[in-house]
Amino acid sequence: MTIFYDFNIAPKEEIIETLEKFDFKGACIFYNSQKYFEKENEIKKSFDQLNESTKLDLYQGIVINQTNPQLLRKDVQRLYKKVDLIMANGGEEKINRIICETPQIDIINHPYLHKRNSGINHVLSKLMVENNISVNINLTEILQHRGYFKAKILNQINQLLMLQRKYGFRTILSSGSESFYDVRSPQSMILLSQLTDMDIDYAKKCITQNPLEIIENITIHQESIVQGVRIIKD
Amino acid sequence: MKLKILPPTLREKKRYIGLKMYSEENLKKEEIFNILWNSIINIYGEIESSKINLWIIDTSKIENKKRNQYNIVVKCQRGYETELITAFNSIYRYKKNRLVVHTIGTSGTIKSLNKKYKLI
Repeated sequence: MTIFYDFNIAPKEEIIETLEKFDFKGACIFYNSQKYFEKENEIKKSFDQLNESTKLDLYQGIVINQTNPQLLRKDVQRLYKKVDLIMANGGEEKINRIICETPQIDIINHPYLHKRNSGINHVLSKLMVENNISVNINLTEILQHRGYFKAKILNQINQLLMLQRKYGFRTILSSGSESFYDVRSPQSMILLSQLTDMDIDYAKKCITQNPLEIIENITIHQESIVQGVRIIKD
Repeated sequence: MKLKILPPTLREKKRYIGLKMYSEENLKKEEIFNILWNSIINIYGEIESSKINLWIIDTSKIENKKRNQYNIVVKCQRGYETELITAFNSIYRYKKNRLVVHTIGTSGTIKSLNKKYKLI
C-alpha cells in the first residue's frame, strides 16, 4: 500500500474530510507565525480538536513570512521546540540564503518569488543538502495563474528541478489547499507535476517518501539539545 | 446520399471518462462545455487539443447540499487520457467562480462506465 502525504494545508474540516476520501495517510497544517504568536493557545486547541476528529496523521507546522533575516532567525528560535515543522517563505536573495543556512527550518517555500530565476544556485543547493532542507512545490501557486505568469512559474520550477537532479536536495509536492476546491487526489497531484520537467517516479516520491523522511526528522529535532547532540530514550 | 458508416477497424479508437465537477455557483451546460474545452486549449494548445478530440456526452446536475455538483461523461481519443485528465485537474476558476474537477474513472464503453460508477 502506498502512503501519501499532503503537506501545507489550511486548518479546515472540509479539507481534511476530502483528504480522507482520497486515502491520504497524513497531512501537515501550516499556521501563520504572526497569528501563532498572538493566539497560541487557541490554535493549539483547534489543532487538537481537528486531530481527534480524523484518522489522518496530522502535523502542526508554522509558516514564517519575514523579509528581515535577523527577525527570521529570532522567530525560528522561538518556535523551534513548539511545533513539528517550520516552513519559511523565500523570495529575496538574503532570505533564501539565511533559510538554507538554518538547519532548524525544514521546508523552504517559493524561493523563486519576484525573481527571474529559480532563486537557488549551486551554493544554496549544497547548503540545503547539508542542512537537510526541502523545497516545497505548491500546486495551487501554479494553477491560480494563467498565461504569462503560469509559464514563468513553470520555467522557474524547471530550473529548480534541474538543480535538484544534480545536487539531490529534497523536494515535496503539496496542494497548498485553503478550501475544498484546492484539494487534489494523489493521482491528480502526480499528473499535475507532469506540467513541469519532473520525472513521474520522482513525482511519486515527492508525495510519499520525501514527506516521510521529513516526518522522521521531527523526532530527531525534538530529541536534540544542541546541534549534533540528542537524547536517546530506551 | 448519406455516407456509409466506416467499418469498426477504421473508426477512431475512443475512451470514456467520468468526472465530477464541483462549483460554487450554478453553471449552464454551455458554460461547462467552455470550461472543459478552454482548460485543454490553455494547457496543450490548439494542435495537441485537436488530437485529444474531446466530446462531451452527458452532463447532469446532482443534488448536493454543500455545493453545486455535476456528473459529466466525456469521450476522447484512446491514448490521450492522461493529457485530458491533467488538463481537467488544472481547472481552477471560471469568472471568479471557484471550481474543481475530480476524475472518477475511465472505460471503453459508456455502459461499463455506468455500471461501475453510476454517473448518468
